[in-house]
Amino acid sequence: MSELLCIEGLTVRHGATVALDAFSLAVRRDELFVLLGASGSGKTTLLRAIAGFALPASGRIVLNGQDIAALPPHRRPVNTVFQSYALFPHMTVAANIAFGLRGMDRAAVSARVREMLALVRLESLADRRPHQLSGGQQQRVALARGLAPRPALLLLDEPLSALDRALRTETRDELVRLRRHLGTSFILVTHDQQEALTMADRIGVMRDGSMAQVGTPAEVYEGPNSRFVAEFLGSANILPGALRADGSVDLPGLGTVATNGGIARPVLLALRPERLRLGDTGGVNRLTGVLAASVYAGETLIHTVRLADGSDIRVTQSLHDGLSGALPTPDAAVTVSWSPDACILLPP
Amino acid sequence: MSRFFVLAPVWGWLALLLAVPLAIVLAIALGETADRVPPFALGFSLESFRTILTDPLYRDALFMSLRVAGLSTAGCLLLGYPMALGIARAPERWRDPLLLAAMLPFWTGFPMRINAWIGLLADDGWMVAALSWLTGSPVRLLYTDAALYLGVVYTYLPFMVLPLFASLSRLDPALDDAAADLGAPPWVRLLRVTLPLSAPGIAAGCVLVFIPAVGEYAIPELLGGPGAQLAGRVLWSEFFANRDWPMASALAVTLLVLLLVVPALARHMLAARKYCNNDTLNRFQQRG
Repeated sequence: MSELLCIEGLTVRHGATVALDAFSLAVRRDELFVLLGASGSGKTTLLRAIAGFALPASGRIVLNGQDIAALPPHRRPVNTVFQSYALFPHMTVAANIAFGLRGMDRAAVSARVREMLALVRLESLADRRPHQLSGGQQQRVALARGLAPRPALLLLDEPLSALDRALRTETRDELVRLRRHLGTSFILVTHDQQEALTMADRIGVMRDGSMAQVGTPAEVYEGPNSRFVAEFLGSANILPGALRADGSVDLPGLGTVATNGGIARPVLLALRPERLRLGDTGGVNRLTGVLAASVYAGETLIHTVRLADGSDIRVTQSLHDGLSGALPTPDAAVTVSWSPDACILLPP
Repeated sequence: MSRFFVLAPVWGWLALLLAVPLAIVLAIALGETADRVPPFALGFSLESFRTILTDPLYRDALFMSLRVAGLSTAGCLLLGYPMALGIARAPERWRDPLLLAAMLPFWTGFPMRINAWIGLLADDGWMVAALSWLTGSPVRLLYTDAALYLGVVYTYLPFMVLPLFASLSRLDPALDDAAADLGAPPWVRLLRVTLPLSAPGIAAGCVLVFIPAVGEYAIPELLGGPGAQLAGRVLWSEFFANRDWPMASALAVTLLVLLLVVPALARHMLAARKYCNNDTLNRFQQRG
């Protein structure tokens, strides 16, 4: 059986509000599963329920075939990297890492601590106290402390949110490499879609205490199953229309565009800004409009095009050749074009 | 120079209310008794101090004071720590009412409360009756060491609970969660995380209880037996009964020196731990 963790019908309440509503999820062995959601979507509550800090009103949490929903936190074979790291301020780095290694003999503990220190490259800082370390180093100590007892599953609550941007990218890649090397399953909570897309083996997008969509980053980004997911992960131009039997979509007031099919019903057409082109070169689908604004964002130009029916769509243009000559004149009549496989059809 | 003028009133008050009285006490301690009013003559005699260090009466009184204060401090810590922890971990809306309840007895005057205890512990009281019935032999409570310790612990318990609460309520709850997450059952979390991190609060509470308890006069007089000759009581009788002012003053000075050594030691021990800042200690030392 490839499922490591199975959550079935989990409901968690905070007073009168329902934080998780009959929630189900399966996490596989040897994967990095990212829970993505806005604040208040229930992702941290889910993590706390798995660790044992939030008591479920009903439901099962099955880890390695054993229901752990009723066990107190210290009896669960699950460790957590807390958002604030929660390192023990009165203990050295080595003592922090050794904290979870109770019941082992002294030689085994010190061997494991050395192994963990080497894993996160902090051998030289073993005798420091947490307040003498930088944020990135504290984060690595928290990771080493969580991994030391060889948990079946490691939970990471926004582990990169306290780091500055450059360090975040570096730590992100290191975390993925480290997890592949160890083969331990990670569940990582984040609100940062870039983090989710780059790190995850699979993403679960959460909304209001339930799961909106689960899949690989490419599956979820390119095939969102709802307007919420399309707009939460990346950005999307949403145009209402009606799908016809031949697979084309009738956009009222704008015309007809070709798509890769579906069944006849009213639909929302979602178009990723980076799949659209200004001009005729993008594909068979074309709409005309007026250029309302262009914003320079470093690697891209972000255009806003006002269509015939008054709605705005966003088009991003990669600046492969730099900015020179790329800046169009405002209020010019433009054509937006794209290919049928750039069309994402969503239920209204 | 302007700094000097701004601070001048502060130094003035300190000199008037602290330095001058202390100097007077020290001067009397170094004087000799005389048959006149006031009953001493100024001089430079270490006779009183020599007597305190050699005469078993005074030596025993000082030791007994330290023992009663030490055991009472331990009693306050054992009772106060669970109380403070309970209040600090209680739901937000319960914290203030519980703290208030811990301090409520202090809204009644001290003599009233001690008199209430005298009534409770008296030979014809229900506590004595209940204990006698349970043990099957007559029991005495009032004017015993048990009553003395009970009175001191009861009186000084809030001085232990408040600094402990202040220290425990500042602890990051995530640390307890992290310890639980790493497999530590509740008692291991208490011993290895909560207790060491609240060390500054423990030190503050112990000093706040120990120092006034050493000089305690009223509780041994009202609840303790005649054998409970504590330094405060001996000092009182030297001053009022024997009219030996130099001896009484020398006792006061000796007690003061002993009490300055204790917080200095506590401070020294805490300074060895780098994670602890000395804010708490500084604050109560300024207050004291």
